[in-house]
Amino acid sequence: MFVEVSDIKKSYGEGGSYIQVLKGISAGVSQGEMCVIQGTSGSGKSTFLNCIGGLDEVDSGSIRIADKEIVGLKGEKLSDYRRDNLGFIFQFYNLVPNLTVRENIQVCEYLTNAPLSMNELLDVLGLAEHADKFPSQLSGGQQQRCAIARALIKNPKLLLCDEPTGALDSKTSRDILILLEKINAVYGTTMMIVTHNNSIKNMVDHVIYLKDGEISKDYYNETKVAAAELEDL
Amino acid sequence: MKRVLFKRSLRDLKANLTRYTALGLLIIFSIYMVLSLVGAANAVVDQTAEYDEKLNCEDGEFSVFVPLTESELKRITDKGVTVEEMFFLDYLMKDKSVCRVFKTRKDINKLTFKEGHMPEEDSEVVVERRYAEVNSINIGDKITLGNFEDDSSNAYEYTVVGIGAVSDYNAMLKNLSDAAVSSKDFGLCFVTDKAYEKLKDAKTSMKSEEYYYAYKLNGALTHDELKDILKDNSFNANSVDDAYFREYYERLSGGGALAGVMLSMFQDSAVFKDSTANLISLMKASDNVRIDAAADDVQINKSAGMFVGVLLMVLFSYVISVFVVHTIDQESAVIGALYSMGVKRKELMLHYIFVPVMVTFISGILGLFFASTKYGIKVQMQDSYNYFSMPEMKSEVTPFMIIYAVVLPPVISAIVNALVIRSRLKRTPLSLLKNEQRVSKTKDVKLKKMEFIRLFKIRQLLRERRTGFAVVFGLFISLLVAMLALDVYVYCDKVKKRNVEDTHFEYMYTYKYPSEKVPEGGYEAVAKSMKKRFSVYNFDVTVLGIRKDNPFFDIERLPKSKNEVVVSDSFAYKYQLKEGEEFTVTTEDGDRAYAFTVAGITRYSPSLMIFMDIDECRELFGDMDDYYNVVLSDHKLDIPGGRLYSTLTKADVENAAEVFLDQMMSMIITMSAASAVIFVVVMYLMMKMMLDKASFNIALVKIFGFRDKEVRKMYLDGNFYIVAGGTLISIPICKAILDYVYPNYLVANVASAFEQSFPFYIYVMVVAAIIVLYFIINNALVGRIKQMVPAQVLKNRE
Repeated sequence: MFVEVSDIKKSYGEGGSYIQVLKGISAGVSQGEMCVIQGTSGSGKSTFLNCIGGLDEVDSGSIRIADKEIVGLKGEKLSDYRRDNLGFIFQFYNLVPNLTVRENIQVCEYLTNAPLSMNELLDVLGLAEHADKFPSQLSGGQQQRCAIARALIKNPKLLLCDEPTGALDSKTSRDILILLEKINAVYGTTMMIVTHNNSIKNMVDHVIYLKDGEISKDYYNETKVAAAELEDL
Repeated sequence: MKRVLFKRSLRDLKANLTRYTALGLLIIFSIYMVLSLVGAANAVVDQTAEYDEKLNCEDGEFSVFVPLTESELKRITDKGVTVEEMFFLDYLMKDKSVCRVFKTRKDINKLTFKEGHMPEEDSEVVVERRYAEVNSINIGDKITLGNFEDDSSNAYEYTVVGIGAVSDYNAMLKNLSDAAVSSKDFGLCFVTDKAYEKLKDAKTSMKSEEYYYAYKLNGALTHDELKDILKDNSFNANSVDDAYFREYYERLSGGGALAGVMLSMFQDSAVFKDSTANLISLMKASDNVRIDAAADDVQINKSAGMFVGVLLMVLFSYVISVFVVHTIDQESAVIGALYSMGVKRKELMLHYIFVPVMVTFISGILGLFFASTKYGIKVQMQDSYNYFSMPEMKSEVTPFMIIYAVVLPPVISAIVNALVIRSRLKRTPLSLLKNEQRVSKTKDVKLKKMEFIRLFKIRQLLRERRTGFAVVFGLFISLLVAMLALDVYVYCDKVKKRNVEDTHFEYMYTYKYPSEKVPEGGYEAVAKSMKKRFSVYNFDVTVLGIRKDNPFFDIERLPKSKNEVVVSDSFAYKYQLKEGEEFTVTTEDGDRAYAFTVAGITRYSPSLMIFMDIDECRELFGDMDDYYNVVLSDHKLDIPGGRLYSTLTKADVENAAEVFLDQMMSMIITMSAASAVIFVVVMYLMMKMMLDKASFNIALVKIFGFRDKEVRKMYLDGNFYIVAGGTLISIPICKAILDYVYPNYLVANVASAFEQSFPFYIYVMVVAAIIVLYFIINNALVGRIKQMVPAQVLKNRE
């Protein structure tokens, strides 16, 4: 398994406000796999993703990415883990507002010695003509494509997407999902996508359902649907 | 609603406590500094005027060859003018200092006491305050006046019964041409009339008695009218008791040249057309550098304080506006939500204005409070008190100070807040809710391809240009204060070094009654005291006729000319003169003017000096061929004190030279510290705010895998360009401003001048200090970057 999670627990607060968000989750994702993590609000799906991304610490358990334990990593070692392995896509794009599209992508290009071709990525993502525009001059879909390009430029082994279509209309959402599918096919990037959208599970290899901090379902899709054919996005 | 918003304001204060505390400290410190300086100046000016009134300070004074007769005095007093003798005798003390002895004053220039009382017995004395303090003289101590070296029977012991000050010696200058006060070396004593006469009879003073009179016009006459009356007075040389005078008079009148004698006899006498005139000089109080000197001196502090005060107020306003813009942008969504729910613009304004106004208001009050404690105005007044001979003065809080400290900061804060909020509230509630970022032409310029980190730094600088400008502004103000301190330091240091280096003689004897032959080992010279105005000050300038072989002045070419002269570089700098340029000087009473051309400039700093060939000088001023009134020597000469006006030794010059730096050192340190505090606080506040503004993006790049070191490079190190650029721009601008302001206003009252350039090491020191402070702040803020944990910031955003 490329991502191997064993019995991770995570809680917040103390005393009366204590809440256990992850109650001993174990799961695995293979290399090159597209995995969706679904669940209702408060089920712990974002926390799960944050823990895998090293953005949050677990109370106990183990997370191994490419055979390397990341629980317990601190400071620069944790930064290096993210730098060498991960790409992030967020619901609200989180572009740096005073950088152009090209410069936003350059932020992550700087982090690797072997980046993908900037121009190729801009072409693939349909951003070539917007390369010198600032985020405020782009539509939501264009901004999200820029965020994807930024995440992909360093050719990450694992792409973590937190509600990547959450702020987009259905047409743009479909475009983005087609793009993710294409990237997975072209670059073989492992993807973990947190979403509350029920349709997206149909286009991926692996689906994990979370409920109240526990995995309620964990299965592989035998009949995948192409992103272009997804309904009710 | 109001209560809820009030609670929110308090939470905002708590959440941004560091920022508000730093802003508050900056305001407190700045107001404290400005008000201490201006408040002290006000107190000195106001109370000096009060004391002048109370002690009946003279309207002017005049000196004569021989005391006025009863009828001459009556002629003046009958006109309604009050006149009082201010005769004095100078005595060399055991510690080599000089004590000037007066009779106690009855009506004009009266004594005010720090402690003790008027002498009642003939064996009692009152000592001038500064001289007493510096020489550790206390009530009950004994001091001896007279010749205690050769003949102890001529020395008299006095008990100190009072320590006080007089208004006609506010600046304790032995000679009016002295550039600095040295209370270690010169002081005043006041004894009873009888004791004074006894001392005089002992003939042990350093030189003959000086006949000065102080007068009050009482509106009866003008100064010129009084002078005209005095000019009519002549004197009978045979009636003068002074043996040296008689010898001199008889020697010269025997030669049948009385007219020449009288013209040549005293250094200042040449101005009189009437050879028998008794009047030597008449000087209005306003032209007397000894009178109201402290008030004149602090006028400069007042102007400088007001100037810095205005600049600091502008700086506060700008810093506050930067804060407000940041807060409003941060709160955009909240404002949008409240606005869309129907909260009125006025209510929102009041809500957002509340905290900064309260912070500035409380800071202003605290600044005023600290300024009015003994560590504020009193400390600044201490500088005057420790230099000038003035009575103890109270610190006072004026309406101006209250307005400056308590009213202006909150009003400015409220106006700036209101303007920023007003401009923000012009946007639609939806635009506010979304916190839409507008593309600014200056902020989002296209940049060429370059190394990423460099590109990022430039983008960050463009984004934070307003904050960067505040840093540069703060840097400029602090550099202005620092370089003013350095100007003072360099000036005082030059006085200390150059005055000593340029004084090649060991003794300069100024004669009242020159002997027939120049004492062996001495080099004769002719000195003429002239006046030249600079700003509101009318300085004593000495025209010195010297022999070509005089070894004490470094003059290569002394023209054989009556209008071509060599000037000291202090004179050239003071009056901005270059070779070939013409200038004029006037006689002391302004009756006659002399025009000269600068044939050369020589190194000499202790006083404003014009050198010319001795023979040409004698001829120009109508003196006899062998006339001299100054003798310079590299060793002590045996000249009777009765023949002399004054003796200036190299040791005197050295002591006086040190006074400047000693006196100003506390001010130099205070100003340097103030400058560092302003720089550090403004820089810290602004850099921290830049980081806080970028906290989300910092978290973001950390998520991507940027290390703290790289984040520091991207978000903090770019400020080095601001600081470096600001330093490179500010240093020459500040220096240019000070090069104009310092000589023309701040030391306009000093009878000397130097080239204003700084030695290179000073610039290195300034730049090094800025870099060190920058790196200290930079390092302090690295901790802030480390605190920005990715998950937490993302969560806050969500």
